[in-house]
Amino acid sequence: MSHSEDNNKENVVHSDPVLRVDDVHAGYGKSEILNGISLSIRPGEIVALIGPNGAGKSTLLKVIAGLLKPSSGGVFLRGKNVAKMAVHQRARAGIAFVIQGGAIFPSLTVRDHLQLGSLGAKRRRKQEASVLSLGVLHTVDLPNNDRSGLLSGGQRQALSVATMMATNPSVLLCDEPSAGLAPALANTLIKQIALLSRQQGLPVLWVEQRLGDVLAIADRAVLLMSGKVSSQTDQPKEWLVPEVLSQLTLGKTWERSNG
Amino acid sequence: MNYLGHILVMISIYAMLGGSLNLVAGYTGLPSTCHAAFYGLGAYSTTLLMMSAGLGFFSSLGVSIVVTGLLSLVIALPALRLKGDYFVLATLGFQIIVVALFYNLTNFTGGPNGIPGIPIPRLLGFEFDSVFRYLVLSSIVSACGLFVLWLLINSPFGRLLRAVREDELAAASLGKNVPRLQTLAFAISAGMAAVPGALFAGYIRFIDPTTFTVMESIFILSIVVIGGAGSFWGPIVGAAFMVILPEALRFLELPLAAAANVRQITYGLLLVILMRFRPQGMLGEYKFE
Amino acid sequence: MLLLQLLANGFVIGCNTALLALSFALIYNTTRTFHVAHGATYIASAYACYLFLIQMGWPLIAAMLVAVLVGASLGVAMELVVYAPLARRNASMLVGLLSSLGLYVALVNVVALLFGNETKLLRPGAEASYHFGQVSLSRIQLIEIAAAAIILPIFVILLNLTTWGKIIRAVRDDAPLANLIGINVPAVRVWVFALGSSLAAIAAILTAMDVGVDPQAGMPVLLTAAVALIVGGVGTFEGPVVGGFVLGLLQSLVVWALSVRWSNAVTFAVLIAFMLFRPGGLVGRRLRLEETQ
Repeated sequence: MSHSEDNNKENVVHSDPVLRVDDVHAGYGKSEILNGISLSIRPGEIVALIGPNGAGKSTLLKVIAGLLKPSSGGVFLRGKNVAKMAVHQRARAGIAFVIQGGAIFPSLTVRDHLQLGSLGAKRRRKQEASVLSLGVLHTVDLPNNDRSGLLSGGQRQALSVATMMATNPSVLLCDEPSAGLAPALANTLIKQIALLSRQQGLPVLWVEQRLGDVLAIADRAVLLMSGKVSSQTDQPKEWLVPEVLSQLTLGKTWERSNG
Repeated sequence: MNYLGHILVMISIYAMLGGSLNLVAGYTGLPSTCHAAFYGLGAYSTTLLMMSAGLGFFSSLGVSIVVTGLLSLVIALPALRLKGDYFVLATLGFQIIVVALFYNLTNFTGGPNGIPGIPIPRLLGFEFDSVFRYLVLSSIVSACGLFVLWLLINSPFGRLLRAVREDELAAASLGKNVPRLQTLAFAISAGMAAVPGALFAGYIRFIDPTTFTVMESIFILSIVVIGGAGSFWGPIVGAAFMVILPEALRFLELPLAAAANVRQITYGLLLVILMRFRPQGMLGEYKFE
Repeated sequence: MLLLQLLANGFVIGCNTALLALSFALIYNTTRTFHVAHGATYIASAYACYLFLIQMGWPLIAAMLVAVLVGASLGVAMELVVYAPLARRNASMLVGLLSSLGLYVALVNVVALLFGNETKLLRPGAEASYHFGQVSLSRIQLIEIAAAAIILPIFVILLNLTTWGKIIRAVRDDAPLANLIGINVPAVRVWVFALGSSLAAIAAILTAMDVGVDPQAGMPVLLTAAVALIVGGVGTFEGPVVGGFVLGLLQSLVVWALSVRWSNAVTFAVLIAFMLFRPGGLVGRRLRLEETQ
């Protein structure tokens, strides 16, 4: 761990959280998936959210984005309770959610996506937003005028991220953005998102199974087990050691790729 | 007293209609909107068998059940390959085509003028010629039909249908032939609808296409929904409720035509309100989810 | 020549059906609601025009405008009061369909209660006839053609070239995703219901002026629109327009070759054939049957 990285961490630690989740309980029908989760995300930090399947990682992201109503607890964006805000209002307030699978609008072009994404962004920042997304797009060399239904898997996923970036978010939620991609492509996409985050000071809450990639670039890592925060660390790279993680998860292993 | 008898006859007819539709809509999860077509096919085939072939009421009824069940395959086989909105549209289409046939095949059906003068049903010389006597006939016949339905629902077949309704994929992966089960349920339901058709024909002794239209299909579906889909007693209670409702409205002393409109407004609103707040109806357990 | 007259009549019916089909498609494509009660909006608008034009003697344009407004308001009310709450709790298609059926039955009977069951003709005077060679068309038929000729191209332009059109297509493609990028999907739904209902109102008023309207006409009208949508291509906006014209011509031919009473039956036979063999419709993608499931 070099000195300069330490300094960056210090700057980050002393600001108010951009996103705060406070004792959230949530579930589908009768089953409770989240059993009292609290965490904060500070400006500029990349937080990796890992854990076994069913631990509630995607569910937490859905609650923050407004897709699922919590049975108790609160979500605060820059100190403001978003409970009464509908999904699209939260998006305009600054919560961007890249869902698993690379969702796009098949009948619209790449340009359309970016245009629609930046519609809600405040005028003076539209320029920044486009630059952000084009940055992501460049790495996978996207065509601009065809229906995006014709794009390949990797291009779709990149477009998905770019569209969310175009909304000029205050915080980015990612649910396995590189899932299903070939290792090299996945690695590139992950690095690109991390780069954009650093450039713009955009905090990211990142659900990921590719532990090797995400723990290498994250500032913090949070381990979720059975709907609760089981442990956290400011030194995510330590969790790359299999014995350490095994101990934390009490020996439970899960499907993960160490790309 | 005749008035009360009349109400009870109609309840027994609609209970059977609701019960038979419940098999397919409530227990199997297939929202068929062509049930009035089978009701009509039962009525017309029984009538034709009695009047042109000279068969007795009960023999005609028996043949009519089989004929209607078989005819239902004409729509069941294509429609069951479709899902959701498409299935509903297909059954709606069949309903409309069948009514068009009732109107147009004048040589068989009498066209828009219908078929008057249907003979009174008789059994061993005993004529069911008064309201009270007909009530005995229709109650017993309907009760038998509903008993058969009850047996089906509580048999392994019934359990399979519910399994298919809850999760088709799971049922299929367990090796159950889902299309065959659905087709069977559909055909049985259609055959059973022929029974109230025959009862209606023998009671009113006149049938015409206006009794068996799309609105009637929606009405029967409402009986199932309001009474409670997926419950045995639901459609029976629903039928009683829906038949008594317009009679209760008589106390408002509305002119005759207005009464019919008010009745329909009431059950239309009931459908909307139920779907919003209590989709399982009065007694049901299936919420159409 | 009879054939030319037939084609001309079919074309006029096609114009009206295309408008109707587009109105239904706008709502179905973007909200995935099988809005059976659209037929009730149709009826209510025609009768509203009857009320203002014939019973209250208002000038034609005023009566028509207010009637369209009535239709739009009704559609919006149904979305706000019935469909939106169901969408919020992720209710299934069946629940929506049954609600829609209930709305249809209730509204159509309110109209029948207020105005009676006989056919009403909205004709503020005798109808002039115009001759084009061997084909003759009434004034109202010409207006129907004009309405389609103006409205349909406007929609095509709006849908494909404006930002608003892109928003509609985004919501059509993936409504939850549209929500996530900040598009106010609930508001889009309301707009689409307003627009779709307005178009249906226009089609209703024109038909009421041409051949008349009665409270029972809502269901066949609705079903024709649905068939045009499927035949043309579900999910597209151009498809139902094409489907509308095809059905209009088909119906005209059937009336001539068989009789009016077969027209619905043939329409539905065509529907079932399309659903089985070409579910993507004429214009839509070549869907496999499995994709409709």
